[in-house]
Order: sequence, then structure tokens, then C-alpha cells
Amino acid sequence: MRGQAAAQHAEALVAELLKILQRVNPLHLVGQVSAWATAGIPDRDDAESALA
Amino acid sequence: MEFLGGLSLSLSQPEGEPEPAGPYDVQRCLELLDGLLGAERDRLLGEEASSAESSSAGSALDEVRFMARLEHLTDRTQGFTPHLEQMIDAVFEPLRGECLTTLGFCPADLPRVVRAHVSARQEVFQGRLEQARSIPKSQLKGLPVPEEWALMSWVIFGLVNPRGDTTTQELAGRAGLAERDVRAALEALTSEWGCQPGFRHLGSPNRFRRYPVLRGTPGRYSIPLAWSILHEVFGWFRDLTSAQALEPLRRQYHQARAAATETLVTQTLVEVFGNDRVLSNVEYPIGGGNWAEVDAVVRLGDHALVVEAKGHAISDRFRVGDTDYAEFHFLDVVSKAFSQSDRAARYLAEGGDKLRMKDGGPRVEWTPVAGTTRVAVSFERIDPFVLAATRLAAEHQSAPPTWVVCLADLLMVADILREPYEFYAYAALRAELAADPVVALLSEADVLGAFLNDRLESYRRLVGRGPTSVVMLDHHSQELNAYYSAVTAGLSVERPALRLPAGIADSLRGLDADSPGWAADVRRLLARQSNSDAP
Repeated sequence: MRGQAAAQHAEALVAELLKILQRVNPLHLVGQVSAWATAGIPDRDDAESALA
Repeated sequence: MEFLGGLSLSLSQPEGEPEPAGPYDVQRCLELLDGLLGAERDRLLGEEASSAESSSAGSALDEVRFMARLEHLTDRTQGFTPHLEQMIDAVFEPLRGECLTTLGFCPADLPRVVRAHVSARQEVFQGRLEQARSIPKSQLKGLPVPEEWALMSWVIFGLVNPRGDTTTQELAGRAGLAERDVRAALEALTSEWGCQPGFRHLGSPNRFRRYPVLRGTPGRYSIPLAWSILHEVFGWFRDLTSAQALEPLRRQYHQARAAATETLVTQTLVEVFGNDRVLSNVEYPIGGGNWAEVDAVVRLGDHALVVEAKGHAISDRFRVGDTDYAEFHFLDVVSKAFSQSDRAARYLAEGGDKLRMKDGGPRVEWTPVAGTTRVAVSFERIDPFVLAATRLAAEHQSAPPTWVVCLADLLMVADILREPYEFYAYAALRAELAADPVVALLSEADVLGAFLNDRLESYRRLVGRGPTSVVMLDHHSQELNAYYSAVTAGLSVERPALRLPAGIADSLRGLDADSPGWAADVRRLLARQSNSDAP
């Protein structure tokens, strides 16, 4: 995916992010997303080792 | 992550009690952010490809500009925390009086505030983790999602307070600082809701990057990316003093940066090589009765390290890919350091021995040397320039090979390679790679990691065997990342070390660094150990 197509895809992703931010408490969302990222637990599979 | 914070600041303050963010919202955001980074990278690649077709693009400066734009898409990392803390202390502690009078707090205290916040969050996290571990497995049966994910989601859901994670009272108590100072600091780092209503693009200027404190309910704050305060403190302070028209403080700050750069470089060299071998701010004759200054020289038998340090600030315009600023910074930071260190190195390598201390000070006793290794240190991280420094230097007809390194990385290298032979061998290898960039490097931590493993020999053996003459260096920084994460967390862990066969390190230590031939002996011994075919 290059150029214009990539730009349109990015726009759609941002629009969805914005919708989520408008629906929920943004402090709660940004805090949790950064906690998942900074805890080094990017997805569901890695949660298992963190709890081990 | 900074993008999500920035996007949230495009909205006005949440009213009433908005619904909490559930685990599926959080996971979807992580997926969307990942996808967004990929899409933006694709877009940039597309733009670069079109621009290359339509113009004479393709110069090293274009490469630098492109790398800067790519770098700008991700959260900024200026170095490992212990080294950033050293730099923050060296710059701001001398300005404590002025900062307290003008701003009501001193940025030298920010590491304590950040650590206080992180340790408080860590305690809550550990507490909830313990609770999660004690939940009987039988209670989790039948969940539509993996148990571990459900538990971790529960831990993190409760870790974040929707009204704001902290207060000035809590932070001041933990950090051992006055509450009024902490309040002044947090307010100076806070972004107001709705402050960037048009923010929609990943590469756009984002206030959240330098003002990462979010306002919660009255008296409460959230600092979701607390460490980013330390990574961006220097750019933030420059912005803050500009926005508030604090010109005298801004001037003092730039002077303090320049002084701190030279001081930290000298201190670092002294720690590795010893006081007797390091000369700082030395002058040498350049003809016509004029003298030029070199920031630091290290005497190593008949070899010398010639070091230039630049405390200059890198403009945000460069970070977003502005061509004019890329050229300006190349000339200002890289080219000037190249040519200055080259002039000094050439004088010394040609047998020059008339050295004196700064400002016409006393004569320095100096025995002529046969060779030199050049090092250019920049206060700020300039990875795009490091990557293309040699090509740039050739295009601008600048000086010969120089190891270009940012201050935080120099502190890291000296922290790991503490023996004179280790540090010298690394500096010489880096300068050599700058002259003949057979291994393409993106990060100093990766290079250092590869050096610890086998001095990059496994890479150099690949050169010329494939379709290209350049081998891309892989990620080798995992060990260093883990070490500095542990150090930052206050854990006692073993420092990563150069891996050498038993006995070789002793032989290297046994060499006299003040004797002629030491530098050559070090490289010969290390090369022999790293290549079984060597004589």
C-alpha cells in the first residue's frame, strides 16, 4: 500500500480512534493503552507470561 | 502512544461521568495505533518514491531528511534513563536559583518527580497483580477469552484512575519535594483539553510529546507516559522559555547546555582513561600567530583520541523533514565538528607538539603521536546524521572518518566499556566503519551490543559475500535494554561486558596505555582473538 491508499487508510484508522475517544473516558483509555504498551505486553498472548 | 495522547487533546474536557474504557476498547486502540504507524510509513515511502522520480533526490541529505521523518512518527527516545538523568542534572542544577525564581521549580528535580510517580504506579500494579494471581482458576472457567488476558485486563483496568492517577501532594511526599514546587512543575508540563482541535496526523506537531501531563478532576493529574518527561525535557524547556518570553533564562540555558556537554564529555573520558591522559580545552597553533581550540584530547602512547563536543539544539523543523534545516544542522553540528577535529587531528598526527591550555594558558607537555581517532559528540540525538555522516561528509568534502555520537550514547558506551582498551577499540572501530560503512547502523545500542558479542566480526565476515556491499546491522540491544531497565528500577544486576576468552582480557590489561604502540597492540590482540584465520 503506497501514497494515496496509505493516506486514506490512515485517515480511516484515526477516525475510528477518535470515535472510541469520544465514547469513553479518555484519561482511562490513554492510561490503559500506555500501561499495556509500557508493561511490554502488546497482546493477549503475552499476558500469560506476565501473570506466570 | 504519543499520538493517542495528542488525539485525546483534540477533544474538550470530558463532561460528567463518561463510561470507563473497557478491555476491548483498549485492545482495539493498540491494533489501530499499530496499523496507523504502518500506514504512515507506507505513505512516506510512497512520497519519497514519487519525489525521487520527479527530481534529483537521492543525496545523503535526502536520506537524512527521510530518516528524520520516519523517526518523527514514533515516540521519542533520547537515551537510557540513567544517562538522561546525568545530563539533566548537569544542565539544570547550575540554573537552580534562576529556575526557582522564574518558574517556581527546577527541572533538575523532574527525575525525582517521575520516579515518584512511576514507583507509585508500580505499587498499585503489583498489588492488583497479586490479587489477580490469588483468584481461583475455577472462577475463570467458561470465559469467552483467554484467562490470562482477562486477568491482565482486570489488573490494568483498575490501575488507571479515570479521574486522574495522582495529586501534587502524593508526588511531593514520595519525591521529598515541596508541594508548591511539584505543582508548578506539573502545571508547566500540562496540556489543556481541546488545545489542538485540528490534530489528526501522526507526523503533525503534537503538544502531548512535550507536555504529557493530563488534567483530571480538580486537583488530580494523569501522566500516562511519565518517562517521556525525561526524554523531552530539553526541547520542552526551550519551548517553555520561548512561549513565556523568558529570554535571559533561555540564554543561560543554552550556555549551560554547552558547558554541560564539554564537562560530561571530559568527565566521561577521565573515568575511562584516567586524569593524567585526558586534556580538555587545549589550544594548538594554526599559523599566523593564531591558535585553535580542541575540546578534549586523550593521550594513549603514540596515539590520540581527538574529541569535539557540540551542545547545539536541533530544530523541530529538521525533525519533521525540512530540507533547509537538515542542511543547516549538518553544517552546524556535523560538518563543523568534522572539520575542527580534522584540523586538530592532522596537527597532532603530523607531529605537532606545541599545545597550551585554553585562553593562552600554560604550555602542555606533549610527545608527538603517530595516529589519531576522531570523535564528534552532539548533545542531542542525531541518529539520521550518524547513519549518513560519512556519505554527507564526502558530499560536502568534509573531513575524514569520525565517530559521530550523541552524548547519551557516549555515556552508555563509557558505562559499559570501562577499560581503556575496550573504549579505544570501540571508538577506533566506529571511526573505521564511518570511513568504510560496510555495516549499516541505525542505533548505537545495537552496535555496542554487537561489539560486546564478537566485535562485529560476524558481520564483517559477511561483507562482499552477498549481492550488496553493505550488511544491515540487526537488533543487538536487548541485553543493554534489559540491563538499563533493571538499573532504572533500582535492581542490582550484572553489567553487560565485552566477551573475551579467558586470559586475553588480562593480556590487554597488562599493556601499558602510555607506551608507544599500545593502540596498535590492542587492535592486533582483539583482531587475533576474533578471527581464527588471523595469524
